[in-house]
Amino acid sequence: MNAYKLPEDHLSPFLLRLGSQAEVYAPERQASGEVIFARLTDPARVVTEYTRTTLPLKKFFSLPSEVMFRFSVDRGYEVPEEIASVHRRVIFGAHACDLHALQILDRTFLHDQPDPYYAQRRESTALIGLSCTPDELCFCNSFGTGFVSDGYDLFFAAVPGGFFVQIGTTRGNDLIGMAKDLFAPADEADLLAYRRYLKEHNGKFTREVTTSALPGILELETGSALWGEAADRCLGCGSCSMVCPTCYCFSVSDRLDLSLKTGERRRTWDSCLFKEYATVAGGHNFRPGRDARLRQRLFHKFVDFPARFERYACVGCGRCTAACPAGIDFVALIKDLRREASA
Amino acid sequence: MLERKLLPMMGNVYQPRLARLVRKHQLSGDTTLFAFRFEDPDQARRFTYRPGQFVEVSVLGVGEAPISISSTPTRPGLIELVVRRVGRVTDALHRLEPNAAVGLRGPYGNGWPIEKLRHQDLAIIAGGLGMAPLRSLLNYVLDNRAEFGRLVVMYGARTPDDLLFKDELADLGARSDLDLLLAVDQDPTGTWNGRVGVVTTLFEGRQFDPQRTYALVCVPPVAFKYVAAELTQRGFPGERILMSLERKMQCGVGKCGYCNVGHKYTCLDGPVFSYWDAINLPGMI
Repeated sequence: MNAYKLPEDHLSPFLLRLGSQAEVYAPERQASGEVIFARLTDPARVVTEYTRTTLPLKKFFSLPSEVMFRFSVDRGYEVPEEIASVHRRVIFGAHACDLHALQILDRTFLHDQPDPYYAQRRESTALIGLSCTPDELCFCNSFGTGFVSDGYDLFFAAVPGGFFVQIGTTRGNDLIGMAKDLFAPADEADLLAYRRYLKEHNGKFTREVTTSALPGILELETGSALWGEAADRCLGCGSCSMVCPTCYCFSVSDRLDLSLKTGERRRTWDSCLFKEYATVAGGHNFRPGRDARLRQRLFHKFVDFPARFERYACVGCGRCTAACPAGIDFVALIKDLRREASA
Repeated sequence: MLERKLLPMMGNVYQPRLARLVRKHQLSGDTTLFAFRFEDPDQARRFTYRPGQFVEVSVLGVGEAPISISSTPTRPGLIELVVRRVGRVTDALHRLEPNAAVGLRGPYGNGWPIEKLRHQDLAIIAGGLGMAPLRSLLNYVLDNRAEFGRLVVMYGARTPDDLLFKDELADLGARSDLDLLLAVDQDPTGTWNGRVGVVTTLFEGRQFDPQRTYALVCVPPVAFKYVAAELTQRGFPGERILMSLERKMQCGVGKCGYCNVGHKYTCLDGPVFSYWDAINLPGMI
C-alpha cells in the first residue's frame, strides 16, 4: 500500500504550502455553528472533525448561479473571459459521501455531451478527502458511500497523532511531492492504526435504510397516501434540493443590461419541487400536485436515475432531512413506504 | 500550478450561433412560420438534421425555447420553424422583422426513425400545432416517395382558420399518391365543407394493415390517449404508434433536468416515443 503519515502539527504547514500554489478551500465553522467550505485564510480555522457542510461540493462545480454567456447584437453569445478562465484549486476536507456524490454528478455533467463549465472546474480542482464524524441522520453505509476507494487525489483518515494518507491519483502524488518533508512513509504501526480506524469508523453509522428492491417498492407505492401526507407538510421551498449533493437541476434566464444592447445568460440552481418547474407556456402543468412533485424528486433518486446510470442518486448524507423546515424525514418516508408495500 | 485555461468554446454544448430571420409568414391568428439561415455560411452548409428533431432558439435579451423543425433536410438552406405565440420567447419571436438576429443551436432529440419507416405504410396523424414536426416528415417522405408505402395524412384543427399550411394542403389534396383527410372541431363561420369532429373521427371507414403501418402522431397533450386508443383498438402494436411529445425544457442536452420523465429525458430520448414507452413512463401521456 502506497501510503503516508502526516503528523497532526504538519497539517497547517501543508495547507499553507498548497495555498502558495493554488486556491485552497477547507471546512470552517461559522458563528452559527454551521460548517462550510470556505477559502483558506488561516489554517487554524480549519476544522478536521465535522458532520456535514451546509452546502455540498457541487457549489464548486455547478455554481448556485453563474453567467454562461454575455451577448450583444454584434457579437452574439460569448463566454466571458473571467468565466472561461479557472484557477487551479484544492479542496481539503471532503467526506466520503460528498466524493461519491461528485461521481454521481459526473454521470450527468460529463456523460454524453459534457458540460464545459463543470468539466473544466472538475479538471482544475484537486480533491483531498477526510474521514468524517457521522451523526444520527447519516445513512451513507446503506448506499456504500461511507468509504471511498476512488474519486479523490488524496484521502486523509484521522488516526491518533495525525492522518493516514492514501494517494488516489498522480496529481495526489504530486501534491505530496511538493511537501515531501512534511510526510513520512506509512510504517507497520501506521497501517495498524488505519486498520483500527476502518473498524471503528464502520461502527459509527447507526441509521440504515434497506436498499434491496427499493425501485420496485417505490413503484408499487406510487399511489400511496403517504405521499400526500408528506406533501401536506411540504412547503415546496426546495431546500432539500439546494443542499442535496446529487441534485443538479438548473434553469436558464436572460437579463438585458440597461443599454438594452447587451446582456447575460445565467443559469441558477432549480428544484422539481417548485410549482412552475413543469409548467409549459400556455399554463399546462405536467406535475400540478405537490405530491407528484415530491414523488418526482424521490423517484429520480431511487428509481429513475439508477435505471439510467446504474447507481442510486443518494449518498445518505442526511442534508435533506436536516434542512427541511417542515421536518419531513425522507428516510422515514422511504421506510414507511417499504413497510406499507410488504404489509 | 496557477494555470489559466480557456473553456473550449467550440465544444460548448450551450453555444448559440447567430442566425438571421429570412422571412416570416403568418399561418393562422396566433401562429407563424419563420425561416432562418445561419450567419456563418459554413455553419449554414454543415447544418443538417432528421425530421422530428428540434432546435433551441434564442431571442437576444429574452431567452431560449425549444422548437420543432418544420422544414425537411431534403430541401437544405433555410431552417423553418412553426411558432405559436404563447409565452415570452414566442411573443418576442413574433415581433422580429426579417434580417433580425437570433441564436440557434441543435439539432436535438431523436426525430422520427426514418430507417424503420422505409417501405412501410404511414399514417400521419396531426392535431393543431402538431403539424409542425410532422410537416418535416411528410415533405421528407414526398421527396423520397418511392421509398415509402401507402401514405395517409389525417389532420385536425379547432376551426378551419386554425388549419396550418392551407396552400400546401391544397397541393396535397390534388396528389394521387396520398390520402389527405381533414377535420375541424367546430365551424363557426359555416364555410367548411369537410368533416366536423375531433381528429379520431377521420378513422371512420378507413382500413390499415397494423402489421405494416406506422402511425406517426403529434396532437395536443390531452388528445394522445384518445388517438392511441383508436389505433390500439385497430390492432396497432405499441411500438408501431410513434408520438412526438413535449415537456418543459431548458438545456436540450440532458443536463438541466427539466424534461425528465421516469428514466428518460425528452430532449435526448425523445421527443419521439413509442406508445409502448409512453405508457411505461408514469405521467408521460
